[in-house]
Parts: sequence; structure tokens; C-alpha cells
Amino acid sequence: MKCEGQGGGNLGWDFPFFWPRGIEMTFRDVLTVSAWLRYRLFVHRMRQNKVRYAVLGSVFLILALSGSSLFGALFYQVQGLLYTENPALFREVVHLFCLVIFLGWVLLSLFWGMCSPDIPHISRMAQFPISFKRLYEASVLSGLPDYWIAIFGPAFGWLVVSLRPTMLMAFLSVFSVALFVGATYLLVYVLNLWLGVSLKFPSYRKLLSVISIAILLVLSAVAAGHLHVIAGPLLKFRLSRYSIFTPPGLLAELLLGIKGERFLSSIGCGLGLLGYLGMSLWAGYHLTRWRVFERSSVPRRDARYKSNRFERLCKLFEIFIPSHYLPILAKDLLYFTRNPRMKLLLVLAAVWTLIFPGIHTAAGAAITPKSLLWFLWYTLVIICNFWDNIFGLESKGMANNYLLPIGKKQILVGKNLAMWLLRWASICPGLSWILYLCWKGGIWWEGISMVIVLFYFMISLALLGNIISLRFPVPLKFGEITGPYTIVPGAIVTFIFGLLGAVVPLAADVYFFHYLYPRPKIMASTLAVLCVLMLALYRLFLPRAERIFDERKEEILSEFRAPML
Amino acid sequence: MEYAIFAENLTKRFGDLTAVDGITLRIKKGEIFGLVGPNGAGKTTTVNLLAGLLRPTSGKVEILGMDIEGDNIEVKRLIGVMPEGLALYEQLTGEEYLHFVGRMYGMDGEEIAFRSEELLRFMGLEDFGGTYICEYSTGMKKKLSLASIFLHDPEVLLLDEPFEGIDPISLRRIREVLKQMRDRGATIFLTSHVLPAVEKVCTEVGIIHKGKLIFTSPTEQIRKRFEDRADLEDVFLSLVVPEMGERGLPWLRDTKAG
Repeated sequence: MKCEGQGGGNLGWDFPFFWPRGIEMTFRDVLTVSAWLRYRLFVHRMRQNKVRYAVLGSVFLILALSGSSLFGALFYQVQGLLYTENPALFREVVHLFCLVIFLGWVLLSLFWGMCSPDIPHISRMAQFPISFKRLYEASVLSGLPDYWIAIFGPAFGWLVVSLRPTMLMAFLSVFSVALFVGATYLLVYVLNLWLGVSLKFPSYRKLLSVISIAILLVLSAVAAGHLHVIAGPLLKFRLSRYSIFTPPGLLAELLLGIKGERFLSSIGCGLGLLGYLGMSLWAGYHLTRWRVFERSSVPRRDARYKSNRFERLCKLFEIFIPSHYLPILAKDLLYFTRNPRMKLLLVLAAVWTLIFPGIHTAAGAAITPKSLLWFLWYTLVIICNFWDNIFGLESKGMANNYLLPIGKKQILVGKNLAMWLLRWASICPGLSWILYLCWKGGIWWEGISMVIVLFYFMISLALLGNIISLRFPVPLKFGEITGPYTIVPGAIVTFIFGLLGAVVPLAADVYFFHYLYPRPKIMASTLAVLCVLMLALYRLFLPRAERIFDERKEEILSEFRAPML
Repeated sequence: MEYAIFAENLTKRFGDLTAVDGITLRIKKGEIFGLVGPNGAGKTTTVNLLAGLLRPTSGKVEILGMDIEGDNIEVKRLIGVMPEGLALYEQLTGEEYLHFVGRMYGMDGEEIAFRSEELLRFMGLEDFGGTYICEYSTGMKKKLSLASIFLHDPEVLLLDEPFEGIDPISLRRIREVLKQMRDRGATIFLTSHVLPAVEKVCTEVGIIHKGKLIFTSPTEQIRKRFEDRADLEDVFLSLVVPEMGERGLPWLRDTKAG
């Protein structure tokens, strides 16, 4: 192949000085350019999104340090506990181990997503006389050094410091982590090329997920099989109660349940795992069909809708929703349910809220006000996952909000209603089951209180969402905040932010629930008053929100890249 | 006299850049005004200012005698805007998008169904009404955007580059429908680079350069005023790039050896 002159002018940057001029292009050249491109893209992204990357960096640092310290703790404890026997601790160690691997995988995806050049940039490179396969190989290889330095540099440092008294253990732990991640990386890379799917970046991510899950399964099985020799003070971690809802946690419970002949628990965990597997397969299947690199998402590439769902939705809701909110509500409902990531989030929320009463029922325990409180926390955490960026999916259509003859208040309320309906729909199955258990257990006042708290919470999230969306308008692209198109890390970071945003509106209500549940009638009425107050606050803020909507017109539109010049 | 579109001393600055510099427009009802100019001249900014998407640094805009500033829903009900980015919701189907727009204008569901079917057929999109907009080509998106603007039969249309990326058949159809709308009393303001199309459809033409409106004239008078010029393109080039020569690229003139 010949490469004449300097290519890449369309990228907006000049190629580096070492770009070969008029000479045979070797793999090394492609690798050099790829590494340079990766570096420039990374710097470019950092410059363009300083705040986002600062936040992301903090989250990343916290995760990396937590992961590292967990590793450190695990190996330090394991060394001392190697010859003791305490079957109860198996569980904790297994969970800890699984959680750490899970965390490692999350970190891996996070940083990989952050460093990968966008496919549009890679595609632009394809116009030059460079084999795309070569380009891809170079892209993967060029990611290796910065990936290792940035992700494992601090983690390894931390590990070495925390395991200083046992240098051999520190070395072994570092080596095992490096082996795990390096093997995953290389395995994916080789498999990618071997399977001939290297041109499909989404398939690469799918493969990464599949192989990571496979490794997790193998490691969890091995760990579960050998941890009968471990015992000691690791019980203090009590991680099983938190990790039970993660796939490795469920797997560990399944294995331990079988070992301990707790078959009901095993069945429950097996069902949970099947749910995760189904969702993964579903997501994987759709991943191959998403043009994720060009747009945030595309529902079905070649599908043609012969039915007008918009009109059907309008007809469905026109009975009880005022007509001026209807078009916005119907459009947003369609938009949210057609965005594969949002759909995935909806399904996840529905499944996760079902897991709680499922496990409760499987364990044969009676529902109590205290377990209701746990369910409340659990559900609230899950529904926080819905991003309250109400303009998120608008993209270029954002200009319509200023062009079409509709008041800003109607737009806000229509969008809030759409989100509200979706939230209720997602928690409806789990909530119905819990309410049934409440009715059976005779604690229906507590059940009502719980529903009121949920109402309160959703109104407060709508209020918070309006403020955030108008003050910091950003198009919603799941995964973009963590780099391009990595769904799981994106969802996790979204979840963390959602949780942070939820703490303030949540605190008062859960406080009342927690302290007043011995007096259920008083609790229900207090919460109802709070709920009404929150609704009044929401209503009072609307005119102000309407003004901000109009005043910040140019800033909001420019965020959505509406043409200005 | 009440103008359909009235802009006085319209100026828009983005930092140090003056995108639109003191433009005054008086467009009567039933006119089709074409604004032409080189890239970056300020055409899109002008449309955005007229549509209320941008707030002018100075000057004022009135559409049908009403102020476009603020949240003037009454004006929006009477106008149709096709911004440069088209403002389409890409995860709706073409048909659904038309229904959405129709509903926003308070139209009845059956009326929307009837008109949208007609419009999709007219634009040659009848087989794509059930296809997601994200799968449309650029030209198809433009046609759908135009269809959505025609849907509620507006009195004033503001169109940014309506002829770009449109095939000749659709171009002719669009020209026809614009003329039909003008015959019904609608006023149309459009920007374009397709000068022959502008010449054919517009009753008045303006040339914008570096944010200033440097020339306006009724289309039929252009040839009279510039007798030595063949068409609008010649007039445009003579006004905007008078020094343009035949220099070209010297290295392209060299014949390749062998």
C-alpha cells in the first residue's frame, strides 16, 4: 500500500511528524498512527468535557481504590485464614471474591470505553489506503499500554502498599489480577479476529461481556469449590447481603445452596441468574443491531412500523390526560421505550424489584414493617436509575420545543408524566407482589405508607429532574459519560449519580417511615401531608422553570447542537 | 402597511463575531423571498432570528404584526419553520412524526391522517411512512420536514435550505407546492444555495454577505438591472466575489507525465 502525503486533514488535526510520506505503509506505521489518534482523541475529549471527565475521574478513582483495597483485604485475610475452617465464612469470601472480580470487570469496561477511539473517527481513517483490519488491530494494541498504566498503575501501587508485610502475596495478587485482565483482553482480541467480527465494534463489546461472564463463572465455581478451608474474621464484611443481587453473588449463592442442600434458595438464585442471562442475551442480540456509533441508538434497522403507535397512545391516554400534554407524553413514551438502553433499564428495574419479594417468598419469611423498609430502600435505589434528564433523548428535535405552539409548562409536565408512568410501570409487578404480602400479613397501613413514599419520591425526582435539565441541559447518551457506548458502566455511573441526586428528597420520607412504622396510621397521614407538600412545591416551581426554559433558550439549544450559525 | 415578515435593524453577535449585521426586511403577504449568500454569510442565523430560536442582540422581528420574542404561541401557530438541523424526532416513524406535529397544532386525528397520507404521497414518501426517520436519507428527511410544515397550512413559512439534497423530481414538486401556498396567500422566506431554484420560485431575492444584506430586488427586475448578467448566479458572483478570476489550482493544470 502506498500512502502519499499527509492524510487525516479531515480529522481537524495534523498527523504527527513521524507519519510516513510516500513510503510503503507497514503495520508499525498504522500502529503509530492509531496510538497517536487514541491519544489525541482522549485529550480532545478531556478538553471538550472537562466537568464530565472530572466527575468520571473521581468515580473511577473511587472504584479503582475500592477495588484495590478489596483485593488487598482479601489476600491479606486469606493468608492468615488459609488453614482455618468455618463454612459460614465461605459465603462471605465467595461473595467478596465475586464482587471484586465484578468490580474489576466494570473498571476494565469503564476505561476501555473511555480510551477507545470512536468508530466515526476510525471510519474516517478507512478512506486512506489502510486496511481496516490492520487499523483495528493497531487500535486494540495501541490501547494496551495506556490501559495498563492508567488502570492498573494506581491499583497496583495501592495493592503493594496495603500488602507490604507480605511481599510475596502482593506479587501473587498483582500477578493474578494482571493475568486475569490481560488474558481477557488478549482472548477477546484474538477471538475477535479469529471469528472475523473485528469490523463490528459492538460485537467486540458483546464478546468482551460474554468472555468476562464465562471467566467469572469458571472462577466462581473454582472459588466455591475450594473455599471450605477458609475461616476467620472476614464475617465482618457481610458482603453477601449486598452482593446477592449481582450475577456473581447469585451464582455463589446457587453453588453454596446446592452444597448446603438449601434447594429453595438455589432455585431462587438460579431464576435470578436466568433473568440476568436472558437480559444479557437480549441486550447482546440488540447490540449487533444498534448503530450505536452514529446515533445514541436505533430501534430496528430495517423494521417498518405499519401501525401508528403514536396515535394509539394518544387515544389510550386522552381519556384521563389533558389534550395539551398528550402529544409530548405520547412522543416521550415512544422515545423511551424505543431506546434500547432505556428499554433495558425498564426491564432491569422490573426484574430487580421482583427479585426482592421473590427471595422473600422463597425464603418463607413473613413480611414485616422492617422488611418493607428494606424493600423501599431497594426500590428507591433502583428507580433512581432512571435518568431524570428530561430533555435527554431530544437531540436535534430539541428545537421543536421552541418552534411548536405549546407552552413550556406543558412540555415539562408532559415529559414528567411520561417518566412517571414508566417508573410506575417498571416497579408495578414487584410492588403489587409486596402489597399482596402486606395484605396477607395484615400490615396494609404500612403498605399504603410505602406507596405514598414512592409517590413523594417520584414527584421530588420530577422536580429535581426539571431543575437539573434546565440548568445543565445535556443530550442523554447512555455510556457517553463513561466514554463511548459502554452500557453497563454507563448504567452504573448513571445509577451512582441518580442515587446521589435522590438522597436529599428521600431523606425526610424514609426518616418518617423508619421512626413511625410502629404507629402506621400516623405514619401514613404524615407521609401523605409530605407528599402533598412536595406536589405543591413542584407546582410552585413550574412557572419559574418555564421562565428558565425560555431565558436559557440559546444555551439549551446549543447543547443539543441545534444549528446556530 | 402590515408586513407578513418585518425585521428592523436586526443584529446578532456571537462574542466577537457579528453573524447578522443590521438587516432590515419588509416582506409583504403572498411573497416568496429568497435569501442567498456564501457559506457563513448569516443566512441560517437570520432564519433562526426570524423563527425566534435566537434572541437578537439588537433590532426587532414581527411576524404577521406580532412580536416573535418571548413565548408567543399565537405566532407559532401561524408559522411553519424548517430549521437547518430539521428538528426531527428520529425514533418516530414518518407517519408518527406527522401525527405528533399535527397534534401539537391542535389538529383532529382524522384530519391529520388524511393530510399526512396526502403529503407523504406528494413527497414520494408513501412507502416510507412506517419507517423510522433515522433510516431516512438526508433528502427524505428534508421532504418529511417540509411535509410537517405544510401539514397545518401555515400563513408564514421560514425555510432554511429547503432545496439542498433534494432530487430533481421532488425539487419541482416542492417548487410547485410553494407556489400553491403563495397563491393561497402564504408568505415564504427561504434561504438556499440552489440559485436556479431560487430564481424560479422566488418573487424577491436578497443577497447576504458577511452578515449584511447587500442586495434586494424583485426577481423579474434582476435581469433588467444587470443587463450584462445572464442569471442570478452571475449577479450573485459579481456582487459577492467581484475579484474572482480563473486562477484555479496551478498544480492541477500540469499534465501528468506518462
